[in-house]
Amino acid sequence: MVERSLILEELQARVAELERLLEVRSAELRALQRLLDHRDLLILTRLSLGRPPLEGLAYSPELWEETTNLRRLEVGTALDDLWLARPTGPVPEPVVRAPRQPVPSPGPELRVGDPSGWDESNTLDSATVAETFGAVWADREESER
Amino acid sequence: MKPVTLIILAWNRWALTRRCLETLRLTNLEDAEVLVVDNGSTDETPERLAELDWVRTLRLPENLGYVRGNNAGIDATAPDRDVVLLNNDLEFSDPEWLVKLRRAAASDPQVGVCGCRLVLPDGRLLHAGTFILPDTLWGQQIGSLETDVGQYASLRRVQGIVFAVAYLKRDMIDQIGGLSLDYESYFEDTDYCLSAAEHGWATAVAGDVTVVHAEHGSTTGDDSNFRRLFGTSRSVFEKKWKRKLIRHYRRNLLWQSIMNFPSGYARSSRDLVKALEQQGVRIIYRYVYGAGSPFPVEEPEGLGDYWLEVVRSRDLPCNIKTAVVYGQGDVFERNIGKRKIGFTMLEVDGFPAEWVRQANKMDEVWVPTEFNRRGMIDSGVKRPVHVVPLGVDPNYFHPGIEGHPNPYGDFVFLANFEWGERKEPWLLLRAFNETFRRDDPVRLVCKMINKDPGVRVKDEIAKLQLSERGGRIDYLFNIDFPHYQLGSLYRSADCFVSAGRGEGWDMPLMEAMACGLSSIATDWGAHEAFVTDEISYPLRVRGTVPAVAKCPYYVGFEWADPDPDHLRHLLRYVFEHQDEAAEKGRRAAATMVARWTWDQAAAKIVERLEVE
Repeated sequence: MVERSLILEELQARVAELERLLEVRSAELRALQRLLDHRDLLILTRLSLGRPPLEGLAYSPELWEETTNLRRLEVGTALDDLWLARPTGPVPEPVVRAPRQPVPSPGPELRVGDPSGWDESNTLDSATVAETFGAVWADREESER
Repeated sequence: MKPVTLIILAWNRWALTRRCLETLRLTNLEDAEVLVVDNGSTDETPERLAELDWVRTLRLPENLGYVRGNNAGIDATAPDRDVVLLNNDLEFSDPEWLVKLRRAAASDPQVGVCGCRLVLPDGRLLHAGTFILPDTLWGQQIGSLETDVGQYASLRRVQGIVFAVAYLKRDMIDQIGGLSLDYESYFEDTDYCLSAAEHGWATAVAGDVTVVHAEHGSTTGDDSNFRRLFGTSRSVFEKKWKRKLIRHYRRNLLWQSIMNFPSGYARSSRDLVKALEQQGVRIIYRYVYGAGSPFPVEEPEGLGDYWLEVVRSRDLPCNIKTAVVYGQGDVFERNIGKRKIGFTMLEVDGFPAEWVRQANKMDEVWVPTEFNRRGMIDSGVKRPVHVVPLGVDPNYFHPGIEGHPNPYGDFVFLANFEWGERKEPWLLLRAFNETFRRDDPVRLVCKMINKDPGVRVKDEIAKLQLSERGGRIDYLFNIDFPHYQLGSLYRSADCFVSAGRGEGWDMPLMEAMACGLSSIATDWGAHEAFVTDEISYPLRVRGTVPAVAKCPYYVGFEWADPDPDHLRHLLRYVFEHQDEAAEKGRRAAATMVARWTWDQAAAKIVERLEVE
């Protein structure tokens, strides 16, 4: 019995720690959403998914860097990337969302660009990034309409 | 077809030979025997070969070199058999490679030597035939190190092939024997092909056969030996063939033009030069622009093309007779030939006064279309004006080029243009956006270039206020694709749209049509030469309007006013009649290869040059 209660306590502690980390990560992502523009978010998502950054290559005007320089690229590379970046689908239907609740700060406010504000231990996993940024874009498209 | 003996020459490096044989055995070897010539190997090769009951082995007492080793194999074959020479560093992935190679060789009785496409283990193309120029006597492999997109897929006649894979017909061997004993290794293959040609036998490459070749596997790791063999053979080759190669040229031509800029003139100039060279016209090239010209920029070094580099490096003979200036008409005066020809084109319905003045100093003027010929004459050119069309390279633009189709199954319209008034991209963007809904399974991909620092394309597009709920448009902005890969871009789409106001030729449209795409193209200007209802969807024009653009050459002239209603109709029609559109695309590809190749364009030029 003692052993089982120890296991239970350990599991509860792990759950609590995971919940804490989740809150930290959520705060980070909210901060990123506030501080980074659409292009930066896309680049971050691509990097987290193992794709190269956009650099000069983008497929919609709001994302490309206006330049008169030409960028050398293989056709296959560009098209494979294009199809991946621009999947087919309708504009997402407006989603009724509950008003955002303020997220309690897990500590000092995250300062993007200031390494002293970074939490090096909390790296973003690709699934979370993709899921979160997908919601971000849906929000933006909704607000733009 | 005669039965064949596959002769594989091996010298040590059993692992290579084993891999070659393992992959070979998995292929269709009907009517074929396999003979491995062991060129005096000192490793395990003899013992391992002895274990293979499906392979005949000819053991030579010592390494006799590539030529004598292969000749020993040829001598050891039955006299009723054709022969296929094979390197031992090959891998076979196509089970029908031999069937196709034999079929290709048999399809043309004049072909005595037949090779195939060779690719590197990493998939890059290594060889689609060879050429050697008398200027340098440095053999070059066609297509070498290009990404393999399916280029050179047809059966083509070439000057030579590398004998890593070489089908040799028995009747030819009986006539000219085996490989020349003048060589130990290297140049013997080119020598053989040239000798065959002297005896009336052609050399060809079967484009539907591809074999993996780990190049120079048998000499890897022995650079000094390679250099010795190569240098000795080159000297022998020079004595034997240099004069004969020079005699291939029937005439000299000074070609004053542009080759190393991202422009239509430069691109077509390169293709024309190479096509003319192959038809026996020795080209001496001089850059026609630069200081003192309307384009005072020097041409960059580094064409990235061996043949063209050789052409550019040739000295200017003092007795040059005929010179062609191929470029805008305000550089015709730079022609330094005794017989002066100006070759140009323009996208509007006439030519500027300065061009006309300079054209009237030429002995004759060439333009690619009847549209431009009329424009020249109407503008006051009194010299003879001849139509000399441009073309397309069917080796790089054909329906078999590998595409990267949209994985969601969308129907893809493609446009390829430079942002500006002439191409009038806003017409297409608006029409497409208005014609379709965002959730329709269709999209427009615009490959577009902007070189004007005074224009911000993203702002220009924003001004169009395209609907988020309208047809989806993707952009490939300011990307410089290797030209040889553009066929791959076209093959990734279903319909090409060229809805601009005027064209001097429109190579992108012609290349897309050669790739088998359906097309929508403004029914005006140069398009009138090759855009018909049979092979395309001509876009109606409402008439002509003043050609208002930054380009000074257009001032005072008119160009087309494409009908936006008809464009919307055609976009919708093509989308809803995809089978019909695909059939037009197939007919377009057949028409391009039948009528509009660079070879045909060069033949027309040769015809004009012969009229002294």
